[in-house]
This record gives sequence, structure tokens and C-alpha cells, in this order.
Amino acid sequence: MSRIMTIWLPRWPVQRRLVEKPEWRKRPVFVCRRENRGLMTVMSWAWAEPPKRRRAAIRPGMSLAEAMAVLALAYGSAACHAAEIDADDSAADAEALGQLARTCRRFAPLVGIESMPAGRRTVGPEGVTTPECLHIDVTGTAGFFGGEGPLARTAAWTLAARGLHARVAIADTPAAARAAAHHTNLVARAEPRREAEPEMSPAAVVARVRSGRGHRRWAVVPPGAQRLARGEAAVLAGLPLEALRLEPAAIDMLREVGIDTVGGVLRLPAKSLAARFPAGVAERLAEFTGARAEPIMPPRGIELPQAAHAFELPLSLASVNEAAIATLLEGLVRQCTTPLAARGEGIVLLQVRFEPATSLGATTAAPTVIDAGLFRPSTSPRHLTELVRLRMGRMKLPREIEAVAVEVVATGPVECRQRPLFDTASDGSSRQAAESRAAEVSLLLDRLAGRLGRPAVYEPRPVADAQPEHAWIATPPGRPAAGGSAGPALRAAGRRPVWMPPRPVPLEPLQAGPVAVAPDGPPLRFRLGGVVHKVAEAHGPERIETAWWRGPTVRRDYYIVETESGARFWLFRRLGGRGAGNSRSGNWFLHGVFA
Amino acid sequence: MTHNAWPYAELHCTSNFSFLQGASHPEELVGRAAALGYEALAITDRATLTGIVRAHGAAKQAGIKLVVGAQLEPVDAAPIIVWAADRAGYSNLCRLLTHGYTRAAEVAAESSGRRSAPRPTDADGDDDDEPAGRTAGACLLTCDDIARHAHGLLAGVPLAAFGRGDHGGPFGDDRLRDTTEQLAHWRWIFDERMWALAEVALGGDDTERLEWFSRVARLTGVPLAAAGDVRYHERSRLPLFDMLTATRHGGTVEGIRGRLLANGERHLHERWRIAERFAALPGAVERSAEIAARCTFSLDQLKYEYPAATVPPGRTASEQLAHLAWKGAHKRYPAGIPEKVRELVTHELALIAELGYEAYFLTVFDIVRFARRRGILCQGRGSAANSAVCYCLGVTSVDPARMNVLFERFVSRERCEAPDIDIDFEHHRREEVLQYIYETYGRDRAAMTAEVISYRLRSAVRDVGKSLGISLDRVDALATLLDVGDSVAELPTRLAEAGLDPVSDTGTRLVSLVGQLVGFPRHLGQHVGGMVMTQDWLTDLAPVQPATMPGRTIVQWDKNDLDELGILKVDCLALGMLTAIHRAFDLVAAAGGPQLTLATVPAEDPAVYEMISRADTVGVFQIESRAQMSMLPRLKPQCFYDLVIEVAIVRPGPIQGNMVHPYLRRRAGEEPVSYPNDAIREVLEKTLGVPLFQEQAMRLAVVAAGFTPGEADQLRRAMGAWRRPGVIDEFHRKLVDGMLARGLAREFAEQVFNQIRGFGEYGFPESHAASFALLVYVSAWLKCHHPAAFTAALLGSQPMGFYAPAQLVRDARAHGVRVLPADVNASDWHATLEVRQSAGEQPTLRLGLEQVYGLGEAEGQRIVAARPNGPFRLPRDLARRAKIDRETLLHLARAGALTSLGLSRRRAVWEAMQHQERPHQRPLLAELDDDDDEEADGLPLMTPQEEVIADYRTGGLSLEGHPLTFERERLAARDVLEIAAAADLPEGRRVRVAGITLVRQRPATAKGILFLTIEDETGAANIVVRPDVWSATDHAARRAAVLLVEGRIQRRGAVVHVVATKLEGAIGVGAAKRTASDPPAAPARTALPRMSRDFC
Repeated sequence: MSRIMTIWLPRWPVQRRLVEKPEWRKRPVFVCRRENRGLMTVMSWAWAEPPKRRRAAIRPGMSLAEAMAVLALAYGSAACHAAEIDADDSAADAEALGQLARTCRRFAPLVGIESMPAGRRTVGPEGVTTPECLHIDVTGTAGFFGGEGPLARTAAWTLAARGLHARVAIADTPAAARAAAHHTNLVARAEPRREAEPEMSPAAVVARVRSGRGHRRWAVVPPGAQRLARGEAAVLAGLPLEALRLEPAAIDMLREVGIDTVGGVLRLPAKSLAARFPAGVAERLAEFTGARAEPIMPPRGIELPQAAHAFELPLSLASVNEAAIATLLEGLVRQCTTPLAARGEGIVLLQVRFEPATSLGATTAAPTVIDAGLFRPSTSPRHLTELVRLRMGRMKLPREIEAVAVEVVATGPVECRQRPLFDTASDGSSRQAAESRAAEVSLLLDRLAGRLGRPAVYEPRPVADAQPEHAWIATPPGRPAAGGSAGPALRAAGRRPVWMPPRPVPLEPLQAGPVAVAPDGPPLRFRLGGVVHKVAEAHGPERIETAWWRGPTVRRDYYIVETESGARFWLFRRLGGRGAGNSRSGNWFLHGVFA
Repeated sequence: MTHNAWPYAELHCTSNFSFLQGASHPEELVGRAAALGYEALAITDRATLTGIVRAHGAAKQAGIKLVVGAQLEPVDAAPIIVWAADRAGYSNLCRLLTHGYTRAAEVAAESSGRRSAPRPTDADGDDDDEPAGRTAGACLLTCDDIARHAHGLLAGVPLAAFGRGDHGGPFGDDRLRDTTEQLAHWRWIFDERMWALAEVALGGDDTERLEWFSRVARLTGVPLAAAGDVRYHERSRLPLFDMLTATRHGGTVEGIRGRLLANGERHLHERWRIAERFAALPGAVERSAEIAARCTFSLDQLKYEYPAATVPPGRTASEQLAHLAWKGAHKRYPAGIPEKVRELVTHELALIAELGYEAYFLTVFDIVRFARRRGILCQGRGSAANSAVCYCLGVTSVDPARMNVLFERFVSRERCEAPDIDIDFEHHRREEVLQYIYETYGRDRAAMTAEVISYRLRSAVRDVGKSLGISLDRVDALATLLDVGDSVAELPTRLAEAGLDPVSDTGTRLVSLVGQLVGFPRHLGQHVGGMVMTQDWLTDLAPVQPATMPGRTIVQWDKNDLDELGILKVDCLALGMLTAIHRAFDLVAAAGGPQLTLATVPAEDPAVYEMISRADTVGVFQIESRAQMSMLPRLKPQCFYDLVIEVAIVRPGPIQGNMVHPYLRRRAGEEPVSYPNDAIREVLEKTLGVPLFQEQAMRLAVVAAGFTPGEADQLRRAMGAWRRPGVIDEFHRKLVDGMLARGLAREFAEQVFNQIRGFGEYGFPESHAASFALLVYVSAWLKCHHPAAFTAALLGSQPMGFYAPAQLVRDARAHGVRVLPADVNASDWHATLEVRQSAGEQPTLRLGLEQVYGLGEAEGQRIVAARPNGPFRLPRDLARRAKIDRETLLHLARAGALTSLGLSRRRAVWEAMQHQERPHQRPLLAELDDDDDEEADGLPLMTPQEEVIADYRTGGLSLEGHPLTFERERLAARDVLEIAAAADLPEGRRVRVAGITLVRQRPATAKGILFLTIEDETGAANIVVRPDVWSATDHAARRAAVLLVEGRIQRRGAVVHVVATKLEGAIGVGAAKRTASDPPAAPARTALPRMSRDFC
């Protein structure tokens, strides 16, 4: 029988963000996803401060607006302003968990991410949409750590040192270990007290008890305990049914016949279970007892290639030719792309580390890291190297380096189409041309991103919304829009300019006279960037009144104005509460320029 | 109205009676239009005239002309607005709508689920496609239908619906041809009675639009008129309109923001602004006023005629009525008609003839005769019903000779108001009566009254919450937190209790929108029993549409609308107690007793009155409520008329008028009875000088203040809550002045005014009370002499009355009735009696399968039908023979109805779980005996507590015990007394009791005091909860199934209350209800469901 160590990272999407942005630890954090009902929270983390009025009951699946109202009641409205709201990114969650899995290879070589049972990928009451557990096969390796107990404890504390709250359990099967990890307290209570922990100091014991809101962070289930073979009330028998990851309907059925615990289910004959419950129940049970193998699937990232070059003597970057470094880099990158290309994959995210030389006595400095991300998987070492070089130009590199390491962080399938044997001149050439154009565009995008940073390169997509600045969203170029855009595009009759400032620009006051003549009419003259424009022609108004549900109502009258110099601007007057006919320049804004 | 520079009439205006498509009441629209000086306002709701009567009333008051119209959406053309130019046009409109609704219902029945044909929609973002699958209540019309009914109608075609081009810019040439073709088609139908409506709403391209409109007009020769496509009266309703749009599309505002209108211009604008906006179309604005001027129809022109009765040849209706009345009288009084009755009948017949109400009485007689023939128990009530004529006709069973009563308010000469007769029928069989009326009068001439279901606080919170994107859990939690008596003012508090900050953005929006939404019509339901019948086509009068219930049609107006237009209706109501009495009569006869009828139940039985005086009245009609029960020992009814008073006295009217205590004191001889003068003595003598009936209060106004009877009745109606304010003050002055002028003291005058005010809405006419008192007596007699049959009959007529089955059974057992549980091998669908051999012994009550939670009647009947072939031995056997599925088998197993199969409840559930619904899918295994006995050994046995709670969960009652028995030890440790023990404590003693909440009641008269009835294993206790105590109680406890009450004993005669000082949700059994902040922790099977019946 094998031994599996499971590491559970409760609310992984939140934890991941707290590690990346430690300053968020002092704030409420919400991870949200845009759904048809609005922004829904996927995960929430009520931070450690005690509530002022009553326990905040913010649950995954709530809308953000509602969560804010609850938060405001419990902690006051200041908490809402402090709250961090981040868009759900399950790909990044999975990627980060994969990274963590890699570091966990120090406990044993075979590390996997838990598989999700089918049908559990939607936001449920527990809100879990991404895996939160790592399974590690520690069969026979616990001895290196002084036994299973110390191993589990080491794992928990190692992760704690990285700022992660993890719960760890060791059992015979991944399912059993996962169940135990979710209920370490129960397991620990049921555990016979024979194994004392002599090496723990009293302070450490206190710390342990206090840690994780009174939860024990680790537990070890003795071998064979999940099977009830000897009929003894084993450690896991007392766990609630939820530990088995059954469908809620199946749990209700079991409860109805008086079965509340894992032990109760295990006692039932398998044959009668199969006759009464959907197939999933038997499967989950078999995985739990080990009757059905649940393979540990290493995340893809673990197998990704890496390459490094260590210099015999520290290399002074100032002294070498840039081209030489590029050649070196390209060689390293090629080492990575070659095995990938054979699998039909290309690099999406590449990390290059320059290890600084350590002078004697000095503390080790952190390596300089360059991440090069692509919008399309690439197998071209030249292209990848160029991207890295573009970034290098903008970074402060260490004076002397000891080693260069290249590591592939994420990959994607490379689109490869079979070329037709006989290219007919007419459409063959055009298709080829289109392909090469697309390649050029993606090259351009990657270069731009390399120079400006990835967030600076995006593709606007229209969204149906009456308020112009909300009528589009930025998506990464070349990818299908994340999340459904809301409904069909707005059937606005009004025309929209090609260029819009990020937010409306107030028009400057004129020295003499108001902006507009008629209280309801378009402006006659206005000043922008120090230049006074005279209006030759104006179209409008187009009145927009909307957005009351997300903030104060936006009320504007838009005009398309053509100046005497032939420029066309998109201006609006803010319709204030105090007298809609107010013509003071403070109420006029520029919101776009027509080509 | 003064001369105005920009004459304008809004001709395209949607009120909130186009459900979810308009955001203002018709009254608001009419009022605003009048204030803006419009020439006229047309209410053009989407294929409905439901709001038109209200608009009519408001328009009359505001002094503005109302144009009656509707927006039609034919399946094969763009939407069109029609207005009724004259009476004929109005009839055509009604018929057209009726036709459309009937067709839609037919189509929905033929092909449920098929989507309606696509059609052009508004250009402005709010497409009016109903979500799929909602065609049932729709109005399905074609151009041809409209053409057939076009006579007398004017038409307007909103051009905005055409303008959107498929390619190129909006208002391009591509739609021009289509538009002109359609306009030409309409032109061909309506000739010069049609216009094209130009509508713009600051869309940024208004100039282009107007240009395009005038181009269309030039090409087709159809004149243009300005309109506004108004959806709400003021700009400030924009958020509400957006919210309603979201609800209509079943989404959140954020989710459907792309479909919202871009601005709030769809309100009623000032006239100068309209003139400015349409300056490019000369004449368009004035033309709107001209169109309105051509519509001369007003609802005042409607004339209603009651259907003529079918009379044998050679007789007038009047002769026929007299004939029937005297024939009946001879049958009622075989020993000879008493002189008093003879006089009454003669007098009443003369009055009826004078007012021309013969047909009405003959109709009522006809309906009642039909019911009698079918053996359906029925009884009339209402002012006209308790006349001697009605007794002779058999409409009521209250003998005018037996009661020493004068029916003053019978049919008044002055009020040209319809006589009022309600007829109660057995609730299971009323449908037969309704169908008889449809058949007799024809579907074109009879229909049910509609009832406009409006948003209440709870439904408003639900819809607003959902549209703002608040999670369904929380919306539900919030909605359940709201007590029915709550007003919008209490919403912020409730929000905070539900864990939402009321001053957060979301909270503020919710509160403000809910405040506006409450009172909005939500959908059209049907009135509990009002039938409208007409001489001519009913569809000339109002549109008639099929109801959701097959075989029923409803007229689009509600009770108040019909009242306003003076249209008669007969209320055919369903009364559960009549069903129960009928059933009890049958059970008594089947058990070897006499076959009884309402009239043959032995009268004035002292044993019955003795039982009533003890307040031993659980299950008895009317007098079983807490308030009635506490009154009975004080009133101690001794004769039938005492019951009439008992029924009438515990009503909000007498209670608010402060008449109960004086009456009780005078009855007990503690207070002298005096009358200011003889006229007043005559009115009040029979109730010891205290007005207890509505008629007395009205008569007082006549004899004391010199009102004419007609004025007195106006006064009563003016008191009604929905009538206009201001009128009351006028009556107040008139009443008090009148009495002072007659030498009465001001104090007395004010007192009378208050009494009348109390009666305005909540009084009981003596005639109603008398009809009800008869049912009180009969049901009490049954309870007294045949408790088993009575209980079985009540159980078979649920839901009805004040108590749940558990309390009825408990009460029966307390009266020595042996009760057996429901079982598949012994029970019928309804409860039955198992007659013992030894004479004189009470029969045993066997609960019916109807007690099994989740079991449908069809399945239940199949089980009963399959039983004659031998008892069921195995669940599989039962399932196969009765053809029931796994779920049903599970319901039976859970309820313990498989006990006779030798299976414990849990074992039975386990067996039922493996039942294959379609055995033929596993032919090889079907006959395999796969239930080996050892396999279920893993199942833990149920504890007695689990058994009892399972009983409560599955049938609402347990014969094994009471849930609190198992908590007694723990309760005792907390100094909680048994209720029986607490009842013996002296006044003022502090006490703690606990029990299941049976009833929660917050009478409107009690100033917010909540009355609870709780029950433990020893008995029930009445708890009085003051508002401050209730508001200090946390919300989990409010909804808890089991309450722990701390308070003081209060004794009033034989009645004991506990005045609560603190409420807690009790431990263990109680914490069943899931709340927003606490997910369920306890496994479901040990949590008790909420049993409470709420009358808040």
C-alpha cells in the first residue's frame, strides 16, 4: 500500500494573491467573476479584524454588490473602500499551484494536483472552481524526515514560512488523505495518543494550537485505517459525509437513512449501495478505500524543460558584447524549445534568471528575473530571445553574473496546419499571405508587449452599455473574450469616435462668455489645450441617462461638433442636479475625437 | 382650461397595467398630464384594458379627457396603436382583444413550447419579445383580425419600430419600402382614420429621424402626429423602469444593461418642449390634439343590463319569482306560514318588483337549485340573502321565524346599488357550479371577475433584490424576515437583520425601488368567486380572457372597477367548512347514523352550547380562533342569536369601535343599559345598546343624525380604505352636526362616528353573521356528538380553518377518539371511520393517505384501487400494482405508511431507494430477489425522537408522541414548565414555557401585538408578544419552529395568557430554519419543520 501526503491550501485563489501582494493581507479581498447577474464573488477572505457589529457572512457566489453591503454592515463603509477586488483567473491559480507543486518535489518526486470530479466546476456553495490540493506520493520516503508525523509537520511549516496556510495529512489514498486534510482536527482527536511528539518545545505546541484559528495543521492516518477491515472504529470513520466529495443529493439520501459519517457508508455493503445511488458514490468510495486507483497526475509545468549555463568565473556584463549574450541565450532557449516542438507545443511564458555573482562575505542577492510572455505559443528561439533582449534593455542587470538560467513556465499547443501539396496560385498565395500576416501581427504584438509591458497591449471589444466609457472592455489580443460580454451590442443610434480619452476631459474655461449660448444647445466656442475652437456645426444632443445601479446616475447630453478648422470633437454637457440648463464651462467635457 | 399655445394630447402611453412595461400608475399619468395642461391622455396598454377604469375615475376627477386605447402587437406586422372613437369602436376593441387572448390560449394548448413568430420590434433597444414559453397569457392577433374589427377605431402606427436598417445606418433607404408597404396596408384598412406616429427621444439622431418620418409621410400620404411612447409619468421613474425591464427579462439590471433605454426621456414632457422637439414637423403636435378630439367615447357611455331570466311562457319574471317564493314558503312551513313571514315576503316582493331585481333573484335561485340537485351543500349570505324571500327560495337556511330579527338593510330604494348575495359552496365542488353558470348563460355572456394581484412588500423585495443582483439566498432570507404587517418604513431594519447595510449603495437603491414598486399591479388573477353575467355580449363591455385554470374565463376588470361602472356580480365562493360538514354528514350516515342536512340538525341543543361555552371548539367553524376562544367563556352563548353576536363581535369593527367590553358588561348585568331616545332604542335594543352589526351603525346615522339611508351607505363606503381622503371629514361634520341638532350630546356623537368608522371596512352585517352562525352551530353539533366523523371530515377538507391536522387529531384524541396511522394496506385517500362491533362505542379514525407528505391524489387513489386484489406484501409489489414511481414509494416509506409490510420506517426508505422505476430496462434483474436481509444491517435504528420528528416532517403529526417530550429533561434544567402546569399558576407569576409554534397572528386591531399559540406535550398556551419584545427578538428565533417563552401569567376569567418578556429559539429541536448567515448545521432528520400557520 502506498502512502500519500495531501496538502490542502484553503481558498487557494485568495491565498495565491496574498502571497503575490502581501499588502493585501490587511484588507478584505474578493475574487470575482463577471457573470450575467453582474460581478459574482468566487472567493472571499474576511480579513483577521474582528467585525464591529456581527459576523460577516460573505459567501462565495454572492454578488459583489451584496458582499459590499454585508461588509459595510459588519465593518463600516471604510472596509469597503479598502477592499481589494480582483478578477477570477483560474488559469493563473492553476499555474501558481503548479509552481507550488514543483517546490513540493523536495518532499518526494511524484507530486500531483487533485483532480476535480466531473460536474464540480461551477461555483458551488463552497465556491471551489479550481483545485486546492496537492497530492504527494511519500511511500517509503518519510524516513528521510524522521517519520510521517515530522514529514507532515515539516510540510505545513515549510509552506507557512512562505506565507501560506496549509493543512497536511498523510493516508493510504489521495481521497483519504484529502478528507483527512480537510478535517485535521477530527482526525487528530480520533488518533490514539501513543505517538508523543518529544521534539516539540512547549512554545511550539502553543503556537500550533493557536495557529490556523485553532485548527491542527497536520494529521497522520495510520495505514489501512480507511478500510475498516478489522471493524474497529478507525480514525477516518467519524468524518462527515462531505469529506467523500459526494453529490449533495447523495449526501441527503444517506442522511435520510441515518448515515452521517464516512464510517456509516463504509459499513454498508457495496452491492446495495450500487443499487440505490448514482455511480459517482461508488466511485468516490472506491477511491477512498483504494479499491479504485486514483492516479497522481503531475501538473504539466513540472515537466517543462529548463536550461542553465554557469560561468566558471563571474562574468562582467559590462565587458561582454551584447550579441554574445544573445547567442548564449538563444542556445539555452533552443535547448528548451527542441523537446517542446517535438510534442507540438510552443512557449507561452519564459523566465530568464541572471544569478548575480556573490562576493565573499556578502549576503546572496536575489537573481534578476525576466519574464517574457507571448500572445501565441512560439517555438522560434530567435523570436523568444529577441523578446528577452527587448526586456533586458529596460532592466537594471547585476554587474557581474555567475549563471544564466532559462525556464519554461507555460506552454501551449502550436497551430500547425498541413500545407497543400499543390498551391494553386489564386487562394494558396493569399492564404499563405494571411498566415504570414497573422504571424507578423503576433510578432508585432509580442514586441510591443515586450517593450511596453503586457497590460499595455490589448484589444478593445464592444460591450452593450449606454455609458460610452463602459461600452468596451480590454481583452488580451488574439484571444476570445473572457467571460461572456453582456448580450448583443448596444443598438445605439449615435455614432462613436475612434479615439476616446480614458476619462472625460473637462473643457477649459473661456476668458469671456459662456461655452454655449442656448441653455439647451450645443457650444459655440470652447477651449481645449489652450486653443479656442469655434464651432461651425453641431449634431445632437444624444442624451444618456444610466448607470444608477453602479453609482450615481450618469446624465449627459452629447454633441458631435465640427470646428471651423475642420476638426470633429465629441463633447458632452453634464446635466447636474442643480439646474440642467447650467452652461458654466465646468459642466462641459471632451469625450472623443473623430477621425 | 385656459387657451394654450401648444395644444397636445399624448396618444401613446403605457401604464403599469402593461405588467413590467410601464412604471407609473394610470392615476399618476392622468394627474401629470392634467397638470401639464394636455388636451387629453390616451392610456394604450399592451393588449389590455385592465387599468382603464382607474384611469377613467382619475381623469374625471382631474378634469382631463381620457382616450381609451390599446397597443396591439400583431404577429405579422409592426405594433399599432388603436383608439376607440365611439361606442362601436370600443366594442370592437373589446372583441378584438378577447379574440386574441382566446386564440393565444388555443395555440398554447395545441403546441406548448413552440415560439411565436418573429416580428419587428421597437428600434430603441427594448425589444418586446416575451421570453420564450410565456405565450399562455398573451394576446395573439393578426392584421386580418384587426381589419375585421377596425370599425369605430382610430389607428396610429409608431414609425420608430420600422426605422432600424439591417445594413448601413439607421433610417436608411432599405427599410423605407417595407415601411411604406405596411403603412399602405394599414391605410387600406383604416382609411383616413390612421396616422403615423413620430416619436423621438434624444437619441443623437433625432434630426435624421424626423426627416425620415416626414419622408415616409410624404411617400405614403399618411399624416404625421407627434407622440411620446410614454412609460412613466416623471423622469425620476427611470431606475424603476430599468428594474422592471430587468425583471421582465429575468435578469439583473447589470446583466441586461445592453437592452435598457439609454435615457429617461419616456416621461410626460412639458408642452413647450414637445413643440420644440417636433418643430421640424409642422402640424404634428396639433394633430395629436385633433385625433383626441375625434375620440368621443367615454366609459360613462357603457350601459349594463342584467340577463333576463328564463321564465315559463305566460308569466312575467315578477310573477315567476312570487310563484317560487310562495311555493317555497309552503314547503318551509308545512304547518302554515307565520304571519310575520307572510308580511315580510309580501313586502320584499313588492320592493324587488319596484327596483326590477327579479332576474337577479331568479338567477341566484337557479344556481342554488342546481347545487341542490347535484347534492352540493351551499348557503347564501349577504344583505339580500337573509331575506324571507331567500329563505323561501332555499338560498339560505336561516329561518326568519326562528330569529327575532328585522332585516333593515335589505335592498334600499335610494341606493342604486346592486343587491348583494354571496353564495358559499363546498370548496371541492364549486367548479361544477361555475361551469353550470358558463353553460347556462353562455361563455359570451358570463365570466369571472379579475383580481389585480399587486406587489406586496415581500414580492417587491424579491423582484427588486433579484434585479439588483443580490443572491437568491439572501433575497429569500430577507423576504421571509418580513412580517406581513411590515411597511416599507421597516425595510431598512429588516435589511440590517438580514445582514445588508441599509445605507450602503445597494441598500439605498433597494429601499427606494421597493417603496415605489409596492402597490404596482403584477399580474391578473381571478377573484375568489365573482361571476359577471350580462344580457348582451359581455365582450362588448370588456375584454374577456381565458384564465389559467382550464374552462374559466375572466373579464379584465376587478371588483372595484365593476363597482365603479355599476355592473352586477354574483359571488360564488368556496367554503371548506361546507365540504367538511357534507363529508361529516356522509360519514355519520355511513357509520349507521341518520342522514342529516343543514336544516335537520337538531336545533338548540344545550349540550352543544355547554361545549361552546367551555371554549372547547377546536375545528368548529369561525369560533375556533384564539380571539374567539377567549371570548366564548365570557359570552357563554345560550341560543342561536348569541352565536350570531359571537361571530360578529370578534371582528375588527366592534373591537376598534370599542364596543366589546361595554357589551360584555351589560350582558353580565354589571352596567345599566340606557338609550338617549326611543328611535335609538329601537335600533340598538337587541344588542343591549351597543351597535355590533354594520346595519345598526348605518341605521344610527339615519335615526340619530338624520341621514337618508342612501347617505348612510355612502358614509360606509367613504370609510373604506381605498376611497379618497377628505370625504370622511365632510361626513364627520355632517354626522356630528346632525346629532347635535337632534339634541344628542357631542360625546355620544363622536362615539357614534368612531363606531361607524370602525364598521366601514371591518364590520359584519347581521345577515352574514346569521348565515355563519348556522354553520357554527352545525359544526359544533357534529363535534359534540360525532367527534370522530367530524375530525375525519375536517382532515379530508384541508387546507382550512385555524389548526393544522396535528392539532385536530390531538384534540380528537383528547376527546376519546382512537386514531390509527395512515397505511397503504388500510387507509383510503381521505380519513375514514372503522366502525366497532360493540354498540355505543366511538368509531375509530383511520388517517388517510392524504396525510402523507408529497403523495399526489392520483397515486393515492391508485393504491386504494389496487388493494382489493389482496394486501400489499412488499414495496415492489405495491409499486408494481399501484404503478407508483420511486419518489412516491419514498414518500410513503418516509411517512411510515409501509408499516404493515413489516418494515421499519428507515428500512422501508432503504428498500424504496432501490426500486427501479422502469424494470423493463433491466429485464434480467427485474425478477431477481435482491433484497437479502443482512444487507441493511448497516442501517442504524431510528431513535423514538427521530421517529416522532419524521412523523412531523412527513405528515405534520405524530401518533407516537410529541417532539418536546424528548427535550423535557433539558428544558426542566432550564426551569421550563410544562404548559399544563403553567396554566394553574396564579396571575402575575413569572414563568418559562416552550413549545412548537402553531399559529402566529397579528390582528390589525391589536396595535402590533402578536399572538402566538405554542404547544408542548401537555397542551397549548396563548402567548401575547408586545411589539417591543418582538423587535428585540432576533430573527432566527422569530422563525424558529420551537420557541422558548419567558413571561408572566395573565388570567382573564377562564382564559390564561402568557405575556412574553423574552423569546428565544429553543435548543435542539428548534433550530430548523435555515437563515442567511448560518448554513444548516444539524442533519435534516432531527430538525423539526416549521408548523406555524400565520395569520399576520
